[in-house]
Amino acid sequence: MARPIWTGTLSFGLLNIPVKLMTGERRVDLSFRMLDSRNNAPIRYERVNAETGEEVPWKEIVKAFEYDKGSYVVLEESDIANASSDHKESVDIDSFVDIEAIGPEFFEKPYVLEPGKKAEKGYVLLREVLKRTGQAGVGRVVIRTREYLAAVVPKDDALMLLILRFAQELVDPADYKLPEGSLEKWKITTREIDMAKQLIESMSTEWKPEQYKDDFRERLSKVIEDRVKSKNIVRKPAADEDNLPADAATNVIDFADLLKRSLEKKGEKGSAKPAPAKKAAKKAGPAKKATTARKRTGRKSA
Amino acid sequence: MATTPRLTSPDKVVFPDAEITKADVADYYRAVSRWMLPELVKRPLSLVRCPDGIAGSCFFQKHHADSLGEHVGSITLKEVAGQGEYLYVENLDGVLELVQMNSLEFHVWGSHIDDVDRPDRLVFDLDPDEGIEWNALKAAARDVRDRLAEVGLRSWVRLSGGKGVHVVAPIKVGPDWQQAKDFCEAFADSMVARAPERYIATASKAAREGLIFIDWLRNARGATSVTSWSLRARPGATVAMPLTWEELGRVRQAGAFDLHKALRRSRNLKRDPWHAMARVRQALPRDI
Repeated sequence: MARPIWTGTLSFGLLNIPVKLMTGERRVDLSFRMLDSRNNAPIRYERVNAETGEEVPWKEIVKAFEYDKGSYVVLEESDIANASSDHKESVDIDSFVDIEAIGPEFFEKPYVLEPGKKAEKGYVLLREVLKRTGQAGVGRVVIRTREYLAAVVPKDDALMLLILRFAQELVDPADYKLPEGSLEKWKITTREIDMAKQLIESMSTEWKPEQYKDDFRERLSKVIEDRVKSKNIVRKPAADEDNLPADAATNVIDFADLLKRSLEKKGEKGSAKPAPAKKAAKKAGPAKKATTARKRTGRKSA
Repeated sequence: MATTPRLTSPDKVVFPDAEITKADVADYYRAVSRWMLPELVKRPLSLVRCPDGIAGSCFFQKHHADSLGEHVGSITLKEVAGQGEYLYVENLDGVLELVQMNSLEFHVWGSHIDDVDRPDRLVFDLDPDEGIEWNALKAAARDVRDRLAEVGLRSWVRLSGGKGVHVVAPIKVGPDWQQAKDFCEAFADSMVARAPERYIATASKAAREGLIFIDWLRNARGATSVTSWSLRARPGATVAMPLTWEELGRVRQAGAFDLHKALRRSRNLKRDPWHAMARVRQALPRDI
């Protein structure tokens, strides 16, 4: 099974339950690569300096906030670290609320909590008590570098961790133009209510999420399959890494040193000779010629 | 200009695909002369001439002929066997006379006519094998720049107008061609030793698959490199274009500038992207 995002604890009051935070969703989007249509080479992104156009190495990249158009304040890693909570790999429940009280608009992303080693008993206890009381634990959870608001709710044999939106992230529907008031105000008759009820009842069914399929994705998969069959494909080139020479890792050698050695080699050959003399030397001196020739072939085979 | 050299058959189409005529070529060289002449003048010069446009056959000419024009200079230089008359220009009139003789490309020596045996610049032509990504070539150019800087040589970059990129380092006049060539070969060999998965320093086509050829062979007596702002005798009328290193980051290919873009650039350019080169005094490294 999948690996946990983290292994830590679920805590409330003085109780701690070791848990593993597992992902609760599956990404099924088809992802695409971008190619250059002219030669089907994959397109690569470069991080370049907008002023100089030069590529920027990762180690030179800092984070900044644009507090005004074109004006930035650079944040240190430590600034960001300080701002995030010191909660580490834990779900800290600070209150229990009626699960019905949390509107569906708050739920953002599901995770599953798996009990840690020998933590099954505490896990089941919390799960069953939450079921009986209809309560959800609300608290904070740190995932990767960020802290989130989350609810712990029971579901069958599992404790689910549901990331909640903060209230400030939600738009108040009242911000929109909505029809206020009762049925009477809008002159809706009993007959109309009954008809609407009947219609809804006739369409009522049990909630079976498996019935709903992402049709677009399926159609797209089909198209891709057909394309592959019709051979409209771009072959993967042989991996460059495989044919690297053994001494490819020589990047660490100091360049000036290399150049010096290379120049010295030429010095031995006898440099500073004018071109015609070299030509003559080639004819006259077989030993010298041999060195040159060997060197050339050696390089070619590299 | 006191006398504008005459131009015969101005309407002759030189670049059929780009619909560029001989008059357009002359106008082009006239327009960019401010930027082009400093590098071009008083260096032994070779030409690519295309009497029937680029659709016909073109030829490379390195020797002087009186028919080229009165403003085209002649200099006697020794050759491997004997000697030969080489040509050079001193001003725009010379260029236009060569255009009249259907010259499209201008290739210069790395030395001046008053001291032909002692180079004043090194040129590394980075020539990519098919399939080398442009970004890899740019990275290679920067790599050459950085390694040159490591041994004390500041360098400038030029799009060849073809496939490649030139990295050019001026040197203080002093060393002879053999010394310059030895340095350049050693330099290219060292680049290869450091990253054999990326570079090669031998011209062999067969061994070049997937590699960038660091052509150091231009740093020899008699060898030439296309001069900045020269048109290339190839479809699209591309131009060999000098850039600042910053500009290189924004360029998409070695033939990014055609005649029209080069003209626009020439009009808008505030100063020569290589302007600082003239002030640089740097010696060919001998003891590293």
